Amino acid sequence: VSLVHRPDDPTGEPSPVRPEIAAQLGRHLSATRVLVGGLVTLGLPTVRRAHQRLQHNLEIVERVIRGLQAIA
Amino acid sequence: MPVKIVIAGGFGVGKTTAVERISEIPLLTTEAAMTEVAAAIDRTGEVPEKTTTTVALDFGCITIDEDIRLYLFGTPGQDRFGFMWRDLTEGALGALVIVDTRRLDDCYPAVDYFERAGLPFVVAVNLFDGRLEHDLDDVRWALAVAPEVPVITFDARQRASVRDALIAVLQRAIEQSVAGPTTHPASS
Repeated sequence: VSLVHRPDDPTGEPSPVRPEIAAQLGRHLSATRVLVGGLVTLGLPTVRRAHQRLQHNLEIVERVIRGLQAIA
Repeated sequence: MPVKIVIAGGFGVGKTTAVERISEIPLLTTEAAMTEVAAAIDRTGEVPEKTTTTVALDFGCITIDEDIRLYLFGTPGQDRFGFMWRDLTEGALGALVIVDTRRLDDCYPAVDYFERAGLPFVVAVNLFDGRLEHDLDDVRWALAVAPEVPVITFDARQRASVRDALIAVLQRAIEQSVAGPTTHPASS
């Protein structure tokens, strides 16, 4: 088997779509957003947003490295 | 504090196996039987023993210390699931791109995406059957990744090997944070 060179990136960034819950429920996307928002307010699903700057926090990254190194 | 690493790559390269092998919780996975249509698109002839594929994501986690938990997200390898990648990579420390040199082009979309996003990543060649089909320099040339992007070998079935690959991602994250992001592939 021979290798071939990766071609130049032909596409732009894929656009995000999030209709899956709405599709499963058979409800309009806006209604689904309200429903999910209500559930979050009630504390049923826990929502955590990723910290945007963590990859630049070297102390955190080094702590994760040390934690992984401790895995046998 | 949750932190995360994304594990990406083409169909059947070992993403689910890698997450499962190192996660301290039972793997949350979304493996589903492949349809005939998907089998044709994903060229399953190269891996005939594989009859399922991940249709949403694999999720695992590792407790790092009393404050930090590392979340692992395995992304569907096929580029038709690329719309999920932005959400999964948001705030990630880095990414591990797993490749099978028998189907190297399957990982092009993931490499393209991480280069564009400026996310630190490492290319890890999964040693199926313990064999390296191509020299790592040839893999680097074929993928056209920047010289500073590590290209390593690993075995997704071995916990220590997966651990070392994740450490390589984090070391690359440190290097990139110090040196600045690399967003363009190397020319060769």
